[in-house]
Amino acid sequence: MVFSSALFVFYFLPVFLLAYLATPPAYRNWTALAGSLAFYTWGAPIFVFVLIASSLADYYFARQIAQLYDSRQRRHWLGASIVLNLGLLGYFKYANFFVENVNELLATLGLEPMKWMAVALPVGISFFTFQKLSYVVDVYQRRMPALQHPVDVLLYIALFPQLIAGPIVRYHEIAEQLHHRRQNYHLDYRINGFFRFTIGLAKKLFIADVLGEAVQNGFQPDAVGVLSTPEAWIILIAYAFQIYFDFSAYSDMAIGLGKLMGFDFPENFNFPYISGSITEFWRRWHLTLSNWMRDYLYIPLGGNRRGASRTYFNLWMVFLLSGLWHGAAWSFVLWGAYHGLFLALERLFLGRWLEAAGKWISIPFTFLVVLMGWVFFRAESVELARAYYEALFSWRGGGWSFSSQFWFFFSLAAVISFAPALGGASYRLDSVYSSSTAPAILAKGAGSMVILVLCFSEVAVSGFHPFIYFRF
Amino acid sequence: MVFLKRMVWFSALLLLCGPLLVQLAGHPLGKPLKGWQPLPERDALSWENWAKGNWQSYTEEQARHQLKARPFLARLNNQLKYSLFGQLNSRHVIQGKNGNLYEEPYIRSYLGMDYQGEKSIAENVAMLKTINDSLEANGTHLLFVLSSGKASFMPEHFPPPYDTMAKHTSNYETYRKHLQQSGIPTLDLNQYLLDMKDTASYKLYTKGNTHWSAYALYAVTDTLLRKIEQMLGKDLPDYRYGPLVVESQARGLDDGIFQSLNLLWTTQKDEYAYRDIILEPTQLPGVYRPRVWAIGDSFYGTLMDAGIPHRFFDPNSLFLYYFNEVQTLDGRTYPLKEVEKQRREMENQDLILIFITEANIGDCCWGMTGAFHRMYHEKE
Repeated sequence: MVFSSALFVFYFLPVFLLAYLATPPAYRNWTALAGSLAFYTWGAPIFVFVLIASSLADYYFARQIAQLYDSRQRRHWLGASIVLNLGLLGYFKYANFFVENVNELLATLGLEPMKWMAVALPVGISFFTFQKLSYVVDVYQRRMPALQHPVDVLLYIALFPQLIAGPIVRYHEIAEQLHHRRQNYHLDYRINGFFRFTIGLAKKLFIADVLGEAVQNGFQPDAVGVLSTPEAWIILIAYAFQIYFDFSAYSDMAIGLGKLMGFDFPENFNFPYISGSITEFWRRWHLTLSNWMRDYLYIPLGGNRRGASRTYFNLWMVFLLSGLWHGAAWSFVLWGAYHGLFLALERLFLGRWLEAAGKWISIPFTFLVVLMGWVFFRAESVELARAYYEALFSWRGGGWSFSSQFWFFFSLAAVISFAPALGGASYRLDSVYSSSTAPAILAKGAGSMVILVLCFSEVAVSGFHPFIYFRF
Repeated sequence: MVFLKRMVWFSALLLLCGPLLVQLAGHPLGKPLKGWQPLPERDALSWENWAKGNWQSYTEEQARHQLKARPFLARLNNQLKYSLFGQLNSRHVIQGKNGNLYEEPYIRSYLGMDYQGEKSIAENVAMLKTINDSLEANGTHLLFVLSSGKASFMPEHFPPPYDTMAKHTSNYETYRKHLQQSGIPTLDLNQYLLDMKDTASYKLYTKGNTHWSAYALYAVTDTLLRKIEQMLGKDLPDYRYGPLVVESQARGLDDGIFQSLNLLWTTQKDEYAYRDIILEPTQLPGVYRPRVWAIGDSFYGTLMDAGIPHRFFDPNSLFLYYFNEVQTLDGRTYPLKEVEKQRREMENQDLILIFITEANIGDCCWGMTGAFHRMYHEKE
């Protein structure tokens, strides 16, 4: 079920919310879990069993880890959890990719290909696998105690606002709230949540989907060859806005829904396109993935404590795997490697140069680097990416033809994305989202209602537009 | 302040639940949408449908489609996009200068962008000639009516990029030439309206319709009936016009494509001239009414809507809409099937009318020519 679908907006959300608010606080976890499982079962009726079974296994592993003092035995159970979770992720997400590549290799050697039935990808597996690992690792590191009841583990893993596409909530960030969030059951918090949800819905429907239509046409394999160079640049920039507004919209809705339920999910974005370097970009883009990678991969690999060359290797490895996490395709691997390369270069010298150049140079330069990376990300194959680069740099003449609606939302997206650079890089939207002064609350409440009616009108007429990050 | 916050929260919650409440109340919100088609019934819920997600996908689509608040919400959405961006959410409809709406295929056809080529048209007209001769031999007349087209009538209001495009030979022009050369009885209502364009007292095409105006309809009806009388050599029922009334808002489908935009504000101000066609009562009993099969598009449909065939043709006359669906004068519709077997019925008609407009003439005549030609070819 997509947050921007009629079924969710007009039926599931009001019914769930009324049920949740009508449930006595002591039992709200049960309502939340029932709603979450219904939500996931609707879209993944078979894979819900995988989700439940693997979560219960992690509940057991974490209990064992928490009860034991012998470090070898604890590592044993941690290893079992990692094998289980990465095994499931590997099988469901990467087996097809692996077999495809092996078959290509066998074909070049003139051998028979492996017989293989393609595996369907359970929606959200990349996200909930990371949350499951976070739970077990946090317990292993004695950062947080293990949960006593399997329902709590299931709720943490399956909580529907963030189940499909994040934010990736690390266990230690939410453990307390699984049982103690009554302090958040007040009007300001709910109105802020409602505001955040409607902002996210509007970003998705009015910016991401409108720009996405032009991007979809532009990235068609037979269209790329005839794109004029200006058109190719406009479409690429539109894609940069589309992916940002699509993904951050989902995060906004997740955070908003979380607030309506009394949860406080971590922020996932902080105006990434005003970054003055790729290092900064990753402190502003998909923050919860960056944080997860830092906590559970970069630091365990040794971080920056084992010398310069190992640091560069670790960085590069983290981003290579981050690329692969996004999708089982070489284009994602290249995208990850590309970002890893720039991170390493910034540590070497580029970071100092960009800092010295000032924001009027570093921000456009970083945006350009990010744009070039998005070509890998959007193109469905390395060949298509190559053809798109050709369109960008071949100086092919010709104009463009985009609707006035496209230009309006393209301009709006540009203003929202870059305007904070004028107010200083420390600008944070948090202050707008979480402000609880009386006028702010009233303004947000009234604004949300107008935006919601507009969103309703769009949901009522638009077809199925899944979020980009759903496929990860 | 707490009270105000409470009000805001409860209003928000009420709004969020609003469409669901409307759904539970069971009454649609707003005027029904034009062109709305119900979804086909979904497959029964089965494990296979459920596991594959087919049932869920269909249910989601149905949830959107059958939303009782949808008429209002869709109209609001269309209105905003129309008012802010000039975007029209109706297939093929584009807005020209001075608010004139066009259907794109008419413009493309007028500009010759769908030109079939002289050879193909000549062959088709030759087949029509064979059909005409065969019908005539059996005492049935054929009249080919080139009905009008808004693009031909008012190309000066085309929107970009069509306003600067060069006009090439169109299907209409080539058909007209070959029809005239072939001797098939032809009535060119397109030219007839163009000749009236500068002298007509009222608009022959309004801004919000792809069809001719009600005022033009009276003129073409008059011309058509006189032509039929002349061809058949018989008098049709006499009639007179009622008083003419000029209104600023359309009646019925006189702003049809504007209505198809499904906007919130559903009236488009323009000049609409109306009058009634009144049959002379003294002639009603026993007056001659020809048996007519009309094969045509929506332009003949405007005559049907105005009740013209009902007043002047035999009650068993038929309208073969796009040579695909049969419409009877008593309001029944059914699909046209096994037309080859209906030759005898066709030959029992006094008149076969082919009524086709410029945007459709490239498809002339939706398989009819071939089907009728085969009938007579096999007969020979």
